Amino acid sequence: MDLLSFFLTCLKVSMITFGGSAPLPLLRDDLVAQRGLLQDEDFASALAIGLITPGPNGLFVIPIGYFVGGVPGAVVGALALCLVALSVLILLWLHKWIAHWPATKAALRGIQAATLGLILTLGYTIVVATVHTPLDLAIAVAAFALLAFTRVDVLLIIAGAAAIGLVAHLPGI
Amino acid sequence: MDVSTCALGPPRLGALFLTFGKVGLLSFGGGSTTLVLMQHEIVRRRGWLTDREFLSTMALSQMWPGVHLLAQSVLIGHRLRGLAGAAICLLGMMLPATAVTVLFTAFFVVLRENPLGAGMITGVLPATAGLAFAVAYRFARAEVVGAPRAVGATVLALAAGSFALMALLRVSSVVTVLGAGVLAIFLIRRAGGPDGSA
Repeated sequence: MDLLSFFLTCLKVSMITFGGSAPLPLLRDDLVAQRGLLQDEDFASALAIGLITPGPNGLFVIPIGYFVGGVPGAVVGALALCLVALSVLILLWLHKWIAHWPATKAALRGIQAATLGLILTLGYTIVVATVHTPLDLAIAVAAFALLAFTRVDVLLIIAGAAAIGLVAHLPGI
Repeated sequence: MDVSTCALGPPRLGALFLTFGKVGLLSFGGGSTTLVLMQHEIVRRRGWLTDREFLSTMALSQMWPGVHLLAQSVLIGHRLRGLAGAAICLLGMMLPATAVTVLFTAFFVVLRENPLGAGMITGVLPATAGLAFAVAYRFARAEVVGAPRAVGATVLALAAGSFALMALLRVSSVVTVLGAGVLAIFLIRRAGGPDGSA
């Protein structure tokens, strides 16, 4: 896949979704399901890297770009994020015109609801691709409970999961 | 640095870059951490915006596709220093964070080839599924709490419907998202008054 089509794909999926994590399943549709360029594991990895490294949510596009085309791919992913962010300035002009339409708010709520469905789909996809043993399932459930119901830091959750994975796969145990 | 800075006129571009670079580099854990740090630096510490102005940039950024925090950086920069400010704040937020992410990904690719590293990764991957569900849970709570019951129920039904369409029936996500937007115009106005808000 050339970098230009990757750039355009990133632009497309970012412009039709709201919020950092939302375009991930769309990108997966395109790169895994349609083009067969990456694996589901690559997407789960990109999400984990995005969570571990600093910055706002949504930077997982950068590791995905890296998997697609090395450092230039990563830079292209970052550029697409920047371009979409800059386009918010259009909203400053648009806002005066459409903000008072009742349909605008309702449509945005519907899009947010579908975004919620997207994130669920993402979780479901990762479960299907990576949860094979009872231990995998236990890790997934524990990570959910810790992030949803406690104030434990995401970094600690990831580090804990890595430690469990390391011990469970030590040769000779 | 204190609140008196705002009396000295708009901030310098260099100061904007450093402030947003700091926020981008120090905000581990994504979304809420970044927002809290940004508010702390821009409102509390530097006094560049009031709480109210900060909230209005946040609300506007929520209405635009893409990464909300990046869009909000653009809006804050634009408010403080026009187009140049918008570009500088975005660059500050992205540049250091991107560099760290690229380095870490390269490290990850090396790690994946190593048996011990591969073991760690098999532990982390199922955890990310749990984390994705937790993000969905928090998102659902934010959508439903405070909204009229009928609107909350409609939002949850639309979310469940989208999930079923995309995950189980493999309907295109673009079609699903746009369809949910159109459907909501009819459903939510019926459920919660003219604009679906309380």
